[in-house]
Amino acid sequence: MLYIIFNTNTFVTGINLATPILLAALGGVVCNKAGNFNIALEGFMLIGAFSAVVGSFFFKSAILGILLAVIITVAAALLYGLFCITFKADEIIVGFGFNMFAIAITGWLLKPVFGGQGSFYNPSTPVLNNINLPLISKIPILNTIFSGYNIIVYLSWILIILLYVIMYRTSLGYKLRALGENPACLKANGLSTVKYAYLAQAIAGLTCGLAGAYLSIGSLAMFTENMTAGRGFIAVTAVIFSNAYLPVTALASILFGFASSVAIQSQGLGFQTQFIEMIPYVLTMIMIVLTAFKKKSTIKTKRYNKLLYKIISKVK
Amino acid sequence: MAYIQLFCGAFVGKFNIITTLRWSVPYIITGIAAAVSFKAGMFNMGIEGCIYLGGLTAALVGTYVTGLPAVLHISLALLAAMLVGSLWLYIPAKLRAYHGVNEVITTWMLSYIAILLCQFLVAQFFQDHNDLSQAAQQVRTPYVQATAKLAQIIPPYQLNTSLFIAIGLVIIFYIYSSKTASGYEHTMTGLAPDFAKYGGVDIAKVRFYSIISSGAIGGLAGATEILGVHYRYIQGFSNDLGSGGILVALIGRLHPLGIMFSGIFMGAMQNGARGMARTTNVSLDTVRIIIAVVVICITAEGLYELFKIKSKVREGE
Repeated sequence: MLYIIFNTNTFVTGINLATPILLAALGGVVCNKAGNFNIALEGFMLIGAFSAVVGSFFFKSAILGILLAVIITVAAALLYGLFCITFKADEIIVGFGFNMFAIAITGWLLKPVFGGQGSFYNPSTPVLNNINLPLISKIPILNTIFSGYNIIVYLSWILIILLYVIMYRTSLGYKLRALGENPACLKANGLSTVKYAYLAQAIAGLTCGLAGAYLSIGSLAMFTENMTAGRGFIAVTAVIFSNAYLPVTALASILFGFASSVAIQSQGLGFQTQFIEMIPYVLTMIMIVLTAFKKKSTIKTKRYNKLLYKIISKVK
Repeated sequence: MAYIQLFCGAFVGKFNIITTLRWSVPYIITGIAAAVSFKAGMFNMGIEGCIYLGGLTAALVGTYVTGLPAVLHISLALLAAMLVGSLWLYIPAKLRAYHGVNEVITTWMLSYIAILLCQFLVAQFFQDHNDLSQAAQQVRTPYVQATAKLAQIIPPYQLNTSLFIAIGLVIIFYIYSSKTASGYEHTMTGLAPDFAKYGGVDIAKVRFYSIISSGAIGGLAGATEILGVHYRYIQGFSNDLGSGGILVALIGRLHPLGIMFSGIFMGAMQNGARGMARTTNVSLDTVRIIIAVVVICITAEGLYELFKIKSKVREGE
């Protein structure tokens, strides 16, 4: 068991599995901080995956594929935002419908665009090249662990830092967080709440577009119906698990990626993999319950302190 | 043209009508399961998990309990499924009602856990090893006893007596929600919790029982699907009935009759779209897109306001 966990192979697979979850979760965190509990990440990713294959196949360039994926997914995210923000619909129901819409529209478009049904695979479609990092690729063990991924993996690492800086060190991030905590603050300062709400959706669209592109043209240029297969929901789980605190979200999504990597590696041993697949959900359940009771206990201690203060003041 | 095909595939001919009804039954039951919790303002996303657990429970009771008359055996299996479904949601219900923990997340996570747990239990302990057909790799239990099977109404077709369970549930839900005092309290808790509290309703209790009973009906849906159609537990038998039920409840606007009609609508879509995909080159996805758009628009209050403003502008002119 330990041999499976501490293995460069597991590590590399873990990073590969974690990247789409991580990217989607980053978008989810920004939305969550801006006051929108976004469960449509799955749908965004699927649309991103589809448009990446389309871009890569027709423009004969994987980079243009990423670009098209990002543009179309941002448009899709803004469409989601249109219903959630402007039309004031329930975000869970819209997210739910949007996921369904994404599965249906990508499945439907397969036929007119590629002429196939169910899935699309063409070996002539360009795939993202793996890039070796200049310095690290010379160090023995680290070169297999930290180098040799494609550009989206490195982008996801940069995005963790970039989004953290934006959310916690700039006035833009301050405004986004204020939108989630108390929209009236923004209004009182003469700022448009609608504008920042759409901006958060656009960021989610950007990261989910990258995540989708990673899935479809990351290693094999192919698209199958509903190919995200619940990764968007695990991203939502990571967001909830971390209580939408960005560094913890990143760690949680990497952990979830590693858990499924270990599950895959231990499949050959006849070990029951269902329990490893359960890890994200069980951890999130425990986390939610713990935070709920923690909040309650702080209230209790406050009350206790007040009582104590009263008693002390009476004694004096 | 395709829509005529869709309609014909769903409603024209004995076979099509019966198959439509067969698909409508689980959608109506899960729709009511969803509506029971939504009516109290609780968004139970864990119906899918309850369907799996209920289905597994019913299959196990149906297989391993022997020597009972058919009526007792079936009711025992159904009741056990309901019990398991409600117990599974006991923790999230308790947490939501008395500690204010978001029920969407907890029920949703438990739903995934339930599906994986069922898969584990069946693969580990109850796997049917005697079956040497081509799908022997599939995770599934042995067939249930003959006494536990729900009878087919018109033998060669899959439609079975669970149709009456669905109709009964619609009637009970109608009477409960519009004729009884506790049904009124239930609706009030969903519409205006503060008002209900002011009126003396124990809203925590109402919320608790709404989630619990939603889980029980979800378990029942799984049990009828297993005992009526598959006669054994098969991993993946639910085929997204849980989210289908949520859609049915929303399209039916949480009204019992609305749920019945939207359940039949969903069943017709399931069945008719298959017919359509066979006869024309329009795929199933077209139908899914229509349903998704309906769902997205259904709570968009702003959309109605937009229409109102437009019509007002026109009147002004």
